[in-house]
Amino acid sequence: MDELTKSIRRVGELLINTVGVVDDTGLVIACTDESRLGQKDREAVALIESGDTFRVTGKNTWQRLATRPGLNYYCFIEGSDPVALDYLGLLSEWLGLAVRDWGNESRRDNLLRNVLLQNELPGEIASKARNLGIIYTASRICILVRLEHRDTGGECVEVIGNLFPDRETDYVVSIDDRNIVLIHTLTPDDSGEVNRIAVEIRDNLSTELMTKVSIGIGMPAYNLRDCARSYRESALALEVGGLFSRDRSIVYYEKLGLGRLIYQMSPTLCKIFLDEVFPNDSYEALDRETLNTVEVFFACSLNGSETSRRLFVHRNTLVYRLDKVQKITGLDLRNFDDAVLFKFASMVKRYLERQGGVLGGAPNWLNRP
Amino acid sequence: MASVLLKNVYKEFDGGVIAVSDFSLSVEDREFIILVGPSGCGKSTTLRMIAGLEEITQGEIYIDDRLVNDVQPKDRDIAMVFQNYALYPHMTVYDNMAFGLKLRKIPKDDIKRRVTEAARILEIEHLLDRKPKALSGGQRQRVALGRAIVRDPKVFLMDEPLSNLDAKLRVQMRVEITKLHQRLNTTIIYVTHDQTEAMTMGTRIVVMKDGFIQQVDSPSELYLHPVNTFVAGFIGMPPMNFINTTIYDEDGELKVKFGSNVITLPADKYDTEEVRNYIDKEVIMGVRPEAISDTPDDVAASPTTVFDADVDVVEMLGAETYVYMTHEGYSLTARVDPMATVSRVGEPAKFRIDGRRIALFDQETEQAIIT
Repeated sequence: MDELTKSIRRVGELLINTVGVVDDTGLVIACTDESRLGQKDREAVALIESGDTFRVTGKNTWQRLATRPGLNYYCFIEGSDPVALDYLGLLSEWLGLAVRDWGNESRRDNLLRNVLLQNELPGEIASKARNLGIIYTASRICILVRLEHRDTGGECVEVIGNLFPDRETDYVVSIDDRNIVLIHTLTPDDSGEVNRIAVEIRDNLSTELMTKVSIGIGMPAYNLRDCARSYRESALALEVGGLFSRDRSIVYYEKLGLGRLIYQMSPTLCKIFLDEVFPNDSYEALDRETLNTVEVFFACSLNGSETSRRLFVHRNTLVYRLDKVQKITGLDLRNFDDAVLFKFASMVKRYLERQGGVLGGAPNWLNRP
Repeated sequence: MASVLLKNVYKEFDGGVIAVSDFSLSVEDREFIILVGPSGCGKSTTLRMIAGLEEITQGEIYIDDRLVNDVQPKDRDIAMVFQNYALYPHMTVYDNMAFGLKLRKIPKDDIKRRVTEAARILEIEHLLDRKPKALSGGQRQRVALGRAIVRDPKVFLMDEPLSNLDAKLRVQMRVEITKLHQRLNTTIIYVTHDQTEAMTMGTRIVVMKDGFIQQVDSPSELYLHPVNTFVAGFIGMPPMNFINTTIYDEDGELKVKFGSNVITLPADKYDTEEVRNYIDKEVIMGVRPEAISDTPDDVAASPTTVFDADVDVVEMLGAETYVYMTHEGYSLTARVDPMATVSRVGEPAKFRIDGRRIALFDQETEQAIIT
């Protein structure tokens, strides 16, 4: 549909006559007069019911588009003079090509969506891809863009599609109205390229549509079938990233670290672990200020001077707070082993809280083999 | 055009990390204000909170006297320009600028009028039919600005828009954006980590560190009267020289000492109650590099503020020369006139501090005592 809309927009720039395309139900699917979009045209319905391929009705002239069998679309132009008829002849050829392309594009999108969601039989992917001109064996990566708000008008897909217009290397697949996947073909010298692409997508969506997005990035896939794995990883990156680093808008699967490990732990195991590390709910006894101090202490790689500088507190105050943590939890955070245990346990705690509250457990499809 | 007001805004990320603390700022209508600070200081987060792309934890944000805390970003009537601008490669400059308006279903005639007007303002009318690959870096940046201008927003938010450009182009675009502000006559909030950009572009500058506002002032006030050592060191290139010293009173004169050098503080400026409270206490003396001179005339003219040092490096930059020197463990930098300097590498020399341009800071709080 993208190509058809673009073609009609281009026609609108060249001609003063109103030009449009209706589908086989008489619905206006593209028109230079955008107020007519989505409306059912009575003249079109009558023409389709009659089975005619050409007709002059009222102000407009109609012609069936030269598409392939099975695709019934009609083009109309305002006017019935010879010049308008000449234009209509040219337009039916040109727009017919666009509709045919759209048909291919639509089938390609469906195939890619089914591949990503593992709804396609593995044995058929290669042959279907070949029929649609998609190279099966290529190094690709899935970049999942999750929108904070629904993209009901398809504007976000349009922005991303226009940022990466090369249909040989980049495929933009809309999974639903909040999730869009860019399947990007990697080149040998692509180091740093993926991050640039992710940042560009985020910033362009913010610029054009003032939309906040989160982006998950999977690992490279080496054939089309393998893209499903890369997609799952990108989705997992967003899920886990949302739990442990909500301030980051771009999350890499390969950089999930401890979060990925914790995400796979069962809630029962998590609870047992927490009871062992923080007996008698000792973690709950730590106040907000102390927890913030610990967070900054970890962020400063256990460097006391740097931590007190960043917190604007005297070093003795920091020592006092760390002693307090030790007294309550029994863990001396200046000691590396204790610090690791505290960090891990606090992540487990956060995971449990979120899982019980916001998440409600990982979606089933994430756990598919 | 609109004013922007932030009242006690906080942003706390997961894990209790506070990115922005108690941020209060009033941006006047048509003002060009700069948020500057080192990376991680919360300036971009603040900008994104104004845009609505980041939720605020606490506080209130007003745009044109309207509370926008719960207003969707797209309904705030603002436009953002980012560092990582990307133009649509297969579209012409015209289409690139018009694209956002088409998405908003703006009438075609209106789009044409807005794009043409923006192109005129940016002086890129002759480029409207070109594709991005046929543009230079500066031209692309103008198109990126054009995409924001065509939206005719109340407020422009710019997040390090020049960071991806090379040094020469950055200087050029700096001037362009300043001119653009004058032409558009609108409110701009601009984020940068580059203090030179901040000093040259803004009517007011907000210096941030670790999520806190350090000082909000005009460029000249920031430079001449920094409120603490962070602002003093961050603003100015080369940075201000800091010397740990002690103030003492000798026969009624206030003096500071570093190594064997003694500097007498001019009584008319420094003999105040605030400074006298620090007698026999440790302070930090701040001296701008241009307040240090090595010409014989200057040295002879004010013998009470002269010190000795060994010249380590002399950097001739054309219009100015930097002299790097050490004295008994103290390192200092002077910015001197290349035509008049007598400093030679490896040789001892006498330098004079402009006594009236010494800043004193509390060594514990790092706040200014006098500047």
